[in-house]
Amino acid sequence: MGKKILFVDDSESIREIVNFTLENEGYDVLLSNNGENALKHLNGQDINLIITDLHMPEMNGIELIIEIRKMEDYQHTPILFLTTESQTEKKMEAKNAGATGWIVKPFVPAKLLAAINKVIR
Amino acid sequence: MPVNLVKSGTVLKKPVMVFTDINSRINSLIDCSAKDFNTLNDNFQKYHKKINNLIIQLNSSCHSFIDIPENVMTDFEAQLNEISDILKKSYEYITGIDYSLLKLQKRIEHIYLKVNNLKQNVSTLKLLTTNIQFEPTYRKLYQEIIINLNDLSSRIHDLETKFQKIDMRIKPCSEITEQIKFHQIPLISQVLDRLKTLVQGYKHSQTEIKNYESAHEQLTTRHTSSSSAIIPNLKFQDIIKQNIEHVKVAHESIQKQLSNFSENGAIKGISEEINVEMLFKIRDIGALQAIQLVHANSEYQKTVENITEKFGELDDTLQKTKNLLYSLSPYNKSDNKFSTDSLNRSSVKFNLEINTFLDLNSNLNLNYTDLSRKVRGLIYSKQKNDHFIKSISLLFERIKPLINNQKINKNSSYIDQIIFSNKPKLKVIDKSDVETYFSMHKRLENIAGNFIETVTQKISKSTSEFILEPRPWNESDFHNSEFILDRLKYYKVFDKEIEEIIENLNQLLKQIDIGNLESEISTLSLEILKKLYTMESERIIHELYTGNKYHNHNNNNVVLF
Repeated sequence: MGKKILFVDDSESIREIVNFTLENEGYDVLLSNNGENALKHLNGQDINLIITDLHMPEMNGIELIIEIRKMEDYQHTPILFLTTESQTEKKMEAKNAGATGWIVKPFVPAKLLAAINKVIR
Repeated sequence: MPVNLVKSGTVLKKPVMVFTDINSRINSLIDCSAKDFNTLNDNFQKYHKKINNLIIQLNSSCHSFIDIPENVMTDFEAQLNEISDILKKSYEYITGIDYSLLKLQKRIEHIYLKVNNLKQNVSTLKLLTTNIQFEPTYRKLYQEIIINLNDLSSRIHDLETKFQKIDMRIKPCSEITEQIKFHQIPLISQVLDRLKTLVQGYKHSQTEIKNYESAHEQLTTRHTSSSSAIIPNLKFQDIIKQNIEHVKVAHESIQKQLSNFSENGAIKGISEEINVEMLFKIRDIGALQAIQLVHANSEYQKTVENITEKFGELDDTLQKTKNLLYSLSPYNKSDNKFSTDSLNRSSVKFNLEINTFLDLNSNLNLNYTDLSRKVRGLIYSKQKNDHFIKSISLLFERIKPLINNQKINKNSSYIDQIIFSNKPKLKVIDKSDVETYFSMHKRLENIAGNFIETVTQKISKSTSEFILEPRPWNESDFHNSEFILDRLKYYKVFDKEIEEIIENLNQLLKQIDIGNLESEISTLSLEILKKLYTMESERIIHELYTGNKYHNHNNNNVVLF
């Protein structure tokens, strides 16, 4: 059984590509198309890493992290942003909300996997 | 006059129509990029899976042979050489035994003649003694001589029988040594030579397989590199979608403002300044979006070209992997030097030769056991004869003082000769030597048995797996990269649509005749767009258009807090 990663992105194509990349590396991937659904996945199950997009309808990535950090089971779970956004202010906002790292799309698989290896528990 | 144009309601109605048309086209652009993504992504995953499977199969095929460590063959070759040395020594040893047996036989024939002479002499002596007229006082002595001579005669007769028996024992020993020397050892030597040739062939095959392994490594690296290059490119759909959707949202916003103008009877109650400002806003937004769409189009095109190029590499990798697998395949009947079929044939030959070797060796061992037993019997008989001859010699010694006869003395020395000349000759056939050689040949069985277990069984197992596996390189339902490219909508839909949108925007910009009313680009009117941006590329284009200095935030793609 590989380590479990929850990936949240409203773009179906990004979900497909990230899922493919992570599954090929032996990770067990849970996919979610928005923040609300992502929170439903976090019902106490063991998640080793959360990767989320920033710009999503209804609940954006920052709001999602704030909600996740309120949950006792996931206060120390690493959370990475995977987004096209690269503004420093946004990165700081994410850091303050409790994000572990920030990766700008489009990513090179090796760099994404290297970042995951560094933070995954 | 510009002011008249501004006052005309139709001037503001035109942008509404253009933006409505553009928005419907944008939907088809998003649909087109989504379909292209599905086509590329599905085929990429198929390629990836297919190549991965073939590479794994190639790897497993190569490794099933490579897994037989090189030193196994080298060790086996050394063991074959050791066996050859043992056989050589065995041959020399058997030749020594054969020579000793021959010598013994000749000696026995020689002794046999002497014993016959002795027998004759004793008979003569008996006759002489019988005919001698002894004084009555010597009667007792006479009787004693007669008894001893009779005893001697009887013992000589026994000796003769015993020598005949030894002679009979020598014959089967010689038959065995002859079989070992002229039949079994040469046959085993031939098998060993054939095995050595097979080992050389197999070692050559291992070198060939190493070439396959190196080709396999290159293909794996290339496959990983092509796949890694495709993955970031496949994200084009999401990026283009975001880009185009931002254009769409901006259009919808401006459309709303323009529609209000028209519905409210438009221009009448509105100041000329506001109308002019609106025209500048349309001009700036239209121009900026034309640039954004040109950029999106160029990104899309670049992505399709990149992916196409990488698909071409995947095609090539797939073909090369298939070719390698095919050349390894037992189905390949071409005259390639190396194939699993040739390895399989080698494996069958190995088995055959080793089994032949084991059979021959087993028969050789039986003969060694038999020879050992017979030689032991021979040594025992000879030892018994030595004692017997010694007792005859003693009897002569007893008779000698009774009859001071020259003949008896002479025969007595014959007896000594019989005993002492024979004794060292059989010493060469030693029981422990026979057993040493027997154990050597027993060890050969173990060496050959181990070899069958470690090498030939492994080869036949891997080749039989090859035969049972389906032939993946014959699959015909796989699309090549050219076919995939044909199915892409970009060139037929996206490129054309975006050109028409840009053309419409250009037409619109031409129609917005602001005459002599020159204006700087209003950064304020473009603020609505700026807020929509989520990507660095959008911000760069925006700042370039407005002439502002751009601060690059995107200097580090991965940041860990």
